[in-house]
Amino acid sequence: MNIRYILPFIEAVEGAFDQMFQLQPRALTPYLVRKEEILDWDISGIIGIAGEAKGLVVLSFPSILARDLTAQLTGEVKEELDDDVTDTVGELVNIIAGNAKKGLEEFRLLISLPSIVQGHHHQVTWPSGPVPIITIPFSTPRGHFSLSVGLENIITP
Amino acid sequence: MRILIVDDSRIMRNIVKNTLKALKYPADIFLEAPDGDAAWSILEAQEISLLLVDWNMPGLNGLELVKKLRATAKFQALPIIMITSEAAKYNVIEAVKAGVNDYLVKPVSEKNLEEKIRRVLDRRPS
Amino acid sequence: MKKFFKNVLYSGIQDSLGPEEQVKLLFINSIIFLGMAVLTVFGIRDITGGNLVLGGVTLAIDAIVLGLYFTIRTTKNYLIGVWFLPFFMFAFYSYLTASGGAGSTTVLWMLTYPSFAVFLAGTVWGAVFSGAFLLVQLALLFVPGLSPAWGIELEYKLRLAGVYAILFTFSLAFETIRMKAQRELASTAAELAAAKVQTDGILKNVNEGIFLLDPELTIGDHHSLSLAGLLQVEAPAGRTLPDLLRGRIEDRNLNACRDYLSMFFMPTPPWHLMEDINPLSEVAVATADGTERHLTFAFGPVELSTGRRVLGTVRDVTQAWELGQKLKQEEDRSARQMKHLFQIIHVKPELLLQFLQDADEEIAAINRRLKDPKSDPVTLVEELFQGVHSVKGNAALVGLVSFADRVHDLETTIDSFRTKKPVWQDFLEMTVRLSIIQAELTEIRELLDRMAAFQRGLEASVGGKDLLLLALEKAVDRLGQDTGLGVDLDTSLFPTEIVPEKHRKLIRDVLIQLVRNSFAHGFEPTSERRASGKHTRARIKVAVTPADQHLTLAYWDDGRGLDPQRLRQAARTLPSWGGRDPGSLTDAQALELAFAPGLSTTATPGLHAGRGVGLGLVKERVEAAGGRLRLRSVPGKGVAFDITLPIT
Repeated sequence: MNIRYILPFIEAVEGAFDQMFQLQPRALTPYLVRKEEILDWDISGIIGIAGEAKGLVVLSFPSILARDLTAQLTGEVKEELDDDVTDTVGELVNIIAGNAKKGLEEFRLLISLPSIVQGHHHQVTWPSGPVPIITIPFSTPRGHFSLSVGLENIITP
Repeated sequence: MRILIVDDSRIMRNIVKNTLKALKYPADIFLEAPDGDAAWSILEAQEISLLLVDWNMPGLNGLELVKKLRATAKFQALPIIMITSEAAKYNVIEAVKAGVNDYLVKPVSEKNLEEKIRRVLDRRPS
Repeated sequence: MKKFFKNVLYSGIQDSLGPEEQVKLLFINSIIFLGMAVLTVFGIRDITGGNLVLGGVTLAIDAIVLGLYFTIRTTKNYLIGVWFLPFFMFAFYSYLTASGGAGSTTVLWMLTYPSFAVFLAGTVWGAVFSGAFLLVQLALLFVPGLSPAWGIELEYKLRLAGVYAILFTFSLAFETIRMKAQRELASTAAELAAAKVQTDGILKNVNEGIFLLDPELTIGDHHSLSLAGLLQVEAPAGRTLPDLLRGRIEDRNLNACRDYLSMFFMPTPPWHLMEDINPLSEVAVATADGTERHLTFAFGPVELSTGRRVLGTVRDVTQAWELGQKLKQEEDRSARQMKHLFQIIHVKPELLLQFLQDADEEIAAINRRLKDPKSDPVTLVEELFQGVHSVKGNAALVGLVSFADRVHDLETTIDSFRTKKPVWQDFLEMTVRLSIIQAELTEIRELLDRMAAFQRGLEASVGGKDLLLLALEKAVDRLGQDTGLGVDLDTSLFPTEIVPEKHRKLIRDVLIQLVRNSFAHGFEPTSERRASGKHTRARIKVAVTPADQHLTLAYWDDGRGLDPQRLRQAARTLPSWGGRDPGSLTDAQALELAFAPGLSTTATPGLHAGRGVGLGLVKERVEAAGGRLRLRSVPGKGVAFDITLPIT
């Protein structure tokens, strides 16, 4: 794991939120995460990474923020995590992945199509072996979300 | 016969010189220059049989020097070997495109240097 | 309109004919129409000119010709025309010649006969027809009185014959050459078609993408079928290779690729470098579905009649690359684990566990501070520094030197942020590197867990005992089961530590052989034992005592012992006995017979003994090791073996 693999994602998150929701999320202090830990978010988008480094990037949202963002796009108030919400989160994660991709190419990193996982206290299957995992919390005026990165270097720099 | 060694690092120039000496080239045929401009002056003033040049140098760098030489009628046939730490293929291609006769990646082994010099010099009609 | 004319000219049957046949039919129909036109004109002229007979015949011929046309049309058989016309014209021309009279110009028609005949009927039949026709015309012209044509001027007649001969020869020659050329063309076409089938077969089925590039780097029309799939482009032909790769490989590789390929077309390319600097020798290509494929390209120059081209081949090596990556990852991980292992085995176990626990707590504490939104950056950095410093110190104390080095690097980084006000990205850097340290600690812990599990497994199976005694106990157990005899083994006087390494195997083998021997010969059935007042369970005892330069082993069983009398009796069975009287042996000598190879006191050899080799072999091996083996026995009470082995 290297900070240069993560920065493109930060930029992509900021760009996507601005582009889609006119929000400027603020990155808070990152912290460590253990593999076994259960993330207590409600809906997550998971992006696979392969190449020079291997692992996952996970964007996690609480139900309230996901529904709020969906409401902004659809004009309807959402009481639960329905298909519209899943689509919105999916679209957001897609844009983030797409924007991050460019910045990662020069490091020979490739990203997979994102997949959406939902359910309270869902667990993410990190790659096997001891993988360094960190979480970067973001805050917006309308709620918090987080970006978690678990990457293992294939090519040890 | 005169060999001009161009590299901004004195240590590197010494390494190349020592390698050449180990290959039984007499010491009095070596000339040195720390950058492209100095090299150009030497080349204009004297008859040089072989140019060994690095890529990354201040001022006129190795690649630019090669291009400048090949654009000058007098130096179009000058044997040039680039010795550099730039190892990526697209770098080599750029150098060949600029007109070097051969290319070596640092660190240089005696065997490689000898082989390349022989090949480059043997191809000259004289 | 065009279709109508075509239909008329080809009699509507053009599709069922080959090209040559089509031409012939076209010719026949042209003759028919032309002939009809001419005949009509001349017929009408003749009639209006008063020559009713000639005119009438001409018009009749006209009708026949028309009839021929329709016959061919309806029967769809153009061969009718092919054969009918020569005969028909033979007759008609002969009539024209004959009826011509002195100033006849109709006789000129005969000159066209060879061409028709040869073209329609081929060289052989055409020659036959033409030859026969010539004879008839010559007769008509030169035989006096046969026809009015005889009246034609001689010079004229001779020239007619001469020109006919020339035209005849020419027609034959022309047709022969034409046929030959046609045949050659057909055979060449057939050869090319056959060759094409083969090359097409190759290009269609080969796995590699094969293609040619021209000086503009355009892919040629003929390439292998798999090229499209490999490059994920439907129609690669006509496009340039750089175009197809643009956006799918790194830009600098794309430029390098263009430059490299251009080099092939230079007047003197640097061949000795070309192989090494191929930028596409292994390249990652993005595919439409977002995945990545690894392709390997190879290029070489070819000289074609159209100029120099570059022959390119491309293969998909994604699987091999992925495997290579996995292997590398495994290697890296193994290398790391080995490094850890080397460090760990120098560390005292309890210290290591303590260290891991402390480090975990330290990092958890740091993490709590990181998560706390109320922490301010400056104190946070300070706390990070202290925590990492502590972990480093402990690691160094415990002996995990290279791990401590890595933590030291992190500490230095954090230190540099103490003096300046750290920004968010600095915290990202610190956290990322701390997570890597944590992952390493996890790795060490997992390694330890695995080692502990192994150790536990080992202990469970062995019970912490020495392997030599274990082997003995196993042997006694198994033999006890096999023979149904209950036997106790006493090893209390056998401290295995004093057995030197070099004798361990020998001693084990010897003792096991003796055990076997006891079971096979020594131990009586339980009833017998009870009868003679012994313990129901038999006993074996082994003891070892060290001395200065020797080791003394004692083996003792309480079986029936060795009976000198039985040994004397068995002596006769020995192959090497000769004819001596065993009665002459003393008891001690008789006992020594037990070591003789081939001697057996049991009639039938069983699984475990009785083949008469065991004890002899034991003695040999002990003596070969520089030791001695002695046997004592009290018949009915048991047997004892004393073994001495040197230990210098």
